[in-house]
Amino acid sequence: MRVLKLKLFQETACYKKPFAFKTWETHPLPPYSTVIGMLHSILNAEEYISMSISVQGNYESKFTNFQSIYFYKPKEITKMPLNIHLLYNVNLIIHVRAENEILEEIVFGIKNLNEHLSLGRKEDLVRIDEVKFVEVKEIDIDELDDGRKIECPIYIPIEQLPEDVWGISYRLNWKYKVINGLRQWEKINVKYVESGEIISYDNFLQDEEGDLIYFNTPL
Amino acid sequence: MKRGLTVTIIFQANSLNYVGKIGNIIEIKKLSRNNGNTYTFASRQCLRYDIVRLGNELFNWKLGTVCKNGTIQFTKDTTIDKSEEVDLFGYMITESKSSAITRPATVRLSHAISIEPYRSDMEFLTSKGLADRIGEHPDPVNIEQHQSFYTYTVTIDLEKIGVDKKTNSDEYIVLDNKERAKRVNQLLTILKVLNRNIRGRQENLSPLFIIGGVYDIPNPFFQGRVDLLTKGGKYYINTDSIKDTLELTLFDKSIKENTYIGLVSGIFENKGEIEKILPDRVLSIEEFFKVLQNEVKRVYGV
Repeated sequence: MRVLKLKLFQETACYKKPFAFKTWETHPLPPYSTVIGMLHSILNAEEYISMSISVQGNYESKFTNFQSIYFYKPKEITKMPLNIHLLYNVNLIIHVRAENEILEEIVFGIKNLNEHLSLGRKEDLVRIDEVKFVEVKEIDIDELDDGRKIECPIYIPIEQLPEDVWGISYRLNWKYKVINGLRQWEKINVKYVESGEIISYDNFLQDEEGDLIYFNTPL
Repeated sequence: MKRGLTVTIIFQANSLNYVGKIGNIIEIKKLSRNNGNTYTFASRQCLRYDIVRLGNELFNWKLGTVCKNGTIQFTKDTTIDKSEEVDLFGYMITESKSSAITRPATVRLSHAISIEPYRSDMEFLTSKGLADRIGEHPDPVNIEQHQSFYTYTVTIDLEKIGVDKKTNSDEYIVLDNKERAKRVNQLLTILKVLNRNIRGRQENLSPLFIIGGVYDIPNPFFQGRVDLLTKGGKYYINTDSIKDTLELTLFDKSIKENTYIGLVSGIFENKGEIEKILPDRVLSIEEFFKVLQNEVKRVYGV
């Protein structure tokens, strides 16, 4: 299977948690909806384009910035300074699986971008380090002597979570339908698995460069 | 067409951005890194403020008209043809029971993050002079101080400058290319002489080192890749990360041929080494901006 692999860097980023109102807390990695939003904007998409993604990456540290934020109140719009949690020096690896034609369109879109990309908020600039196609294969766990160590923190959907791997639960937004003028989100339950965990019971996907892959939607 | 301009800058300054007060200590914005050190930073919001302030002072930029209805914001008739500020930095105009009208910023800034760690330097001051006149006790205050090199990145979406959709209409406001080039070049001049007034000081944010150019692919190539090394109390630009970035190709398009460096002599010890990695394209700050501004004119065909 051939998939698209993106390597991205962000000096600072906030992937806001949906119900974090008093301080803007951030997810440790961009949720699927954020990544899909960026890909859809590269594609100039006007409706949902079917694709599946795998998100992994690391960050150096976290800090806060005190910043004015606008709020919608029932009768008015107000402004209030809030603490924004920011990740610092984020390196991301994103795998995208879709129809070949769509992957080619993403590459064309990146080549012909007319603005600097962002991921998260508009000001969270992205540096694109690599865009390439890679082959993916399934690794048979029985052929490995010591299992497979997770090198890079990654989101693993719980249906695919290897039996003895531990992680932090998140319910990530994936895509939405507008119902009565409101976005109704389809959520995906994942574990955020940090580096150092070892997979020893289940088969997994890996690309030709040796990076793990866990797609958010089943094959 | 070349669509993206990006520069990464090093400047030197004292504390630029405070969080507020904790007791009688005035704290600077800070972040910690994996190496255990603490660094200070000036937020992008404060850089934006000073860029617009100088745009108004130097080039008579019209500051977007502001009103208060619920919140303080730009008025509805603040459009990009009337205000350079909203053309470059965008706007969000909100109204109850309808979605906000927004223009994303076409110029984006990163936080200016210190390169040297913060070592808890403090400035102590009191109001003794005034207090003595009335025989009162002075109010002492501690201010965190950090004299350091800082780095930040600017990106400009050249295609989007001077183009905006009119509110509630499918029509666009499109400024002529001469005006678009003029705005970008005024912004570049501001970056060249940028300063910030803070707690009675004026800090000079004018670049001591600057790297970047105008590229086919809008990408902040040098963000996170400009760093200093210190040896024997002297400063060196880390050329390894810059060299690797210059060798990078994205879709077979070379970054090197569009990149220039500007620097102030006598600050960094390894000017010779820097000149070797980018022959003939290591310039003075003044020349760097001249080259970049001509490049901008070429992009817009003026």
